[in-house]
Amino acid sequence: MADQYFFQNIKQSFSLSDIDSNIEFMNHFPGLNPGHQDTSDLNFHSFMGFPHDNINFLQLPEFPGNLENFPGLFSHDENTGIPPVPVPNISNDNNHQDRKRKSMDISTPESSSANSFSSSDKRIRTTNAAAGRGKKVKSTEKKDEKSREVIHVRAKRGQATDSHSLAERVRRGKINERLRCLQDIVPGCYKTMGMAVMLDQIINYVQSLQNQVEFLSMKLTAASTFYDFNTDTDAIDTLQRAKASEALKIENAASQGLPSAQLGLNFGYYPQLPHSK
Amino acid sequence: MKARMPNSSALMKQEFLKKWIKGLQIFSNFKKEMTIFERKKAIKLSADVAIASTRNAATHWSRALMADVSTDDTNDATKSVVEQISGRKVENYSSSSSSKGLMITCSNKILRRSRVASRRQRRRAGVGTSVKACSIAKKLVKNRTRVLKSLVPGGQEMDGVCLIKETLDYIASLRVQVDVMRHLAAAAERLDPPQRSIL
Repeated sequence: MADQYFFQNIKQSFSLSDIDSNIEFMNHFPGLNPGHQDTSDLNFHSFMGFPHDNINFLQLPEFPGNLENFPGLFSHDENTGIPPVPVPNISNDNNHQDRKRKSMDISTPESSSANSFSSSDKRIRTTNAAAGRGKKVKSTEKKDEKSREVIHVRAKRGQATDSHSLAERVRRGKINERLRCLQDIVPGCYKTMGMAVMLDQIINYVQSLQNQVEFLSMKLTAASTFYDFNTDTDAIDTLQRAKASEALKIENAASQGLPSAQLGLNFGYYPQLPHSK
Repeated sequence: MKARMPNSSALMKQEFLKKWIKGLQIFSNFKKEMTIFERKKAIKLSADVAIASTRNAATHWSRALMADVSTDDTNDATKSVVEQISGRKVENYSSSSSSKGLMITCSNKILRRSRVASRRQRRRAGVGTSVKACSIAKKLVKNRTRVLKSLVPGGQEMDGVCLIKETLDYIASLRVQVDVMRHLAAAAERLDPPQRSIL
């Protein structure tokens, strides 16, 4: 059956979490749940056999083509807690019609999935959930294959295909992708930790780096003063002052714990050869 | 982001070093005798301007950093440093960042209002106790995001996705800065006074 093809292909797409909350969200729309028995069939059947007038509440308001205009309105599952904003990548497309039409992509499931894999990160396929004008519209892949940054999102099986949740999913996907890069850079950061812990590590690291800059500029100041006033006793005072500020900075860095130790810098040992990197 | 590996970081270090030294020379030309604090400020300022200009104003944080430097204390030395190193006038930085900030704060306000409305809706719906843990986690994340925004220059006007990207870039640039400064400090220690040329 075409249904099976379609559902298989959906599963292969973006693997993002939070199916439950999306289903709960869908329960708020009574028209969508004919029986509420089988959530797997929910997406397909309820959207497919949909009369025209019930679909109107699903349609996007007449906005200039932005899927993500109100991501904050329906975000149940803000794992990140970071305020969402319209994704800048989306172009104010001329094809408003395509985005607002909610139709299932039955016709060419395999080819469209292949396309979705071959396209770049920024091009995710939109599968619209129900017929916009009472008829089943085929996938709009060909029309949206533009060089502009257009986001198409494929809805997974069992997830809400509402544009807002799709937008939310896209945003979360982007954040997760970026966090993965951050993991490599920030020492002591692991994906297995929650978002809060990772943010903590990032904050510690940034603070320690900024403190290092301060300390190093102090050190260089002391060095320059020392060399300028070679025989002057003031230079010794400046060196002592520099050491005192170093000690303060060590305490700060130590209180933040991990990052400074991992960086292996030798604060306060003057003079000392630095570790080579 | 993975592309910024050994070769490109060495290039960045060279670029930063050149610009930093240029800034230091400008400062030393302006004033022969500086106090300790002036020196330290000069060194740090030159370093910040240099590292921000290696990004060529392509990132939020670099623009914000330059704007901060330009608006903090615009004496002649600072102005000429900014202009010569980055190649742009001081006024450009302050005006462009503020206008963009206004737009973004407006949209943030709208989003905040809509989120409050959705929260009220959700409370009426009545959610279970499992959400409590979720909300505590969200609160933690929100607090930490606020702290991070205060750390990264220009962070107040960024949203979540943008913030993480900018943090990434900022961290990489800070590392370059720290590396170069550390090596210079080490070199300064090893040099004998008569042979010292830069400082």
